[in-house]
Amino acid sequence: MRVAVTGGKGGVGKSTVAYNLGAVTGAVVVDGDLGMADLPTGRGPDLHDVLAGRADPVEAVREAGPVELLPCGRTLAGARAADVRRLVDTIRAVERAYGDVVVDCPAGLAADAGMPLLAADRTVLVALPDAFALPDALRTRALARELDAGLARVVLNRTGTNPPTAAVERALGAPVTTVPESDALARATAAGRPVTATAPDSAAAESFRALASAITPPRRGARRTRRGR
Amino acid sequence: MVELDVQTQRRECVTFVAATVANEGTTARRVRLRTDLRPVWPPRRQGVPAAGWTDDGVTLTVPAAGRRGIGFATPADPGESVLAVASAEPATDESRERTPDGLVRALGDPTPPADAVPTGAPSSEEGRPGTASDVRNGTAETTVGRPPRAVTAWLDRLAERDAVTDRDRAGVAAVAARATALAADLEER
Repeated sequence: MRVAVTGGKGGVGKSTVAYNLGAVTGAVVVDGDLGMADLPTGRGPDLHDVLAGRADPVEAVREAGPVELLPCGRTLAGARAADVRRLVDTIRAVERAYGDVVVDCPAGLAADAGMPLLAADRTVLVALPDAFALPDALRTRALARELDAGLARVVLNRTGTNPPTAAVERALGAPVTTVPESDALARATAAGRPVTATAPDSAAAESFRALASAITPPRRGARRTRRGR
Repeated sequence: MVELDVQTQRRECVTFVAATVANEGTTARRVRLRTDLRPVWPPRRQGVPAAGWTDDGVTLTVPAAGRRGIGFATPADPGESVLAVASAEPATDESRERTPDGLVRALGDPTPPADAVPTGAPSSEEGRPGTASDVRNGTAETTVGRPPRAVTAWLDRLAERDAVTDRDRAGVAAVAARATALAADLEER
């Protein structure tokens, strides 16, 4: 499974969703935001190094933390040296070595946002319950569909009471998982840890478990027929 | 070589068919799926049936060691032969492959321009990583005075990613106005 976590606009919470989704599924999380990395990093080769041909993808995966992570560099020089076209092969290499991959995408619709969609086999689109984000979400969905990484789920992030779930499902044509505005999640994120580890009984943790279960493919089996109303 | 997994769901007198085609082989395959159900209501793009769909099925290319999903609807009751593989020839024509190069051509190169990268003043600055926020705050040590035009253009594009544009506002306002007009129209009737 190669999941692209995208969202069109910045600031919707893609990185938080990607990180926590990685925690629940055991996937390696790749910080694909080449110009504005914000997942936890440390010493050692990073995605900029990999995309510049200076390091092997597997060398750059950090296995020590609660979530296996391929972080990105934070320098402009690194971003300039990185060849975004190498990202597809990088993600494939991580998948071959580790299994599932979650890619945190940058905002916008330039090639650095498109490349993870080209590499992925499904997309999770993160949005805020905010009408202004809709045009961007539609453009992102169209690009994901074009690149064969269809929209598996919409995450409506930081919801309060009565989130517009039905309206968003209609507008984007995909089922919605809500992640509530949550102190537990904010604390976990500030500490650089997944909320399923710090507050496993919280509503936010439950949301991420539901999201993981919704986008993981069902077992292949015989034809099934369900009859509804 | 090619495996088909079909699910159907019957709701409100419509049968929804969802299928996955898996290609276990080492070459891409052009797969023709046929259905006996009539009429076929295929997915539509821009008002016309999506590429590959005909009255009796769909043709699609499945990459080597890959899978593709398709779906359609029909008013007919699901019977014995909802969907079956009619043929699965090796795909000869790999046109319309989405490639990294093609994506960069289509969507634009996101790389910061060369002038944006600090050349590094001697000793104390050397080796200290700059940060994106340093550049946004205008404290990058490239030149004295205004940054080069290529840099400001790149920074503007970055800022635009996060901003609600006037175009977004106008679009949403137009939808809201239309909805209000429709609601008022309904009220009158």
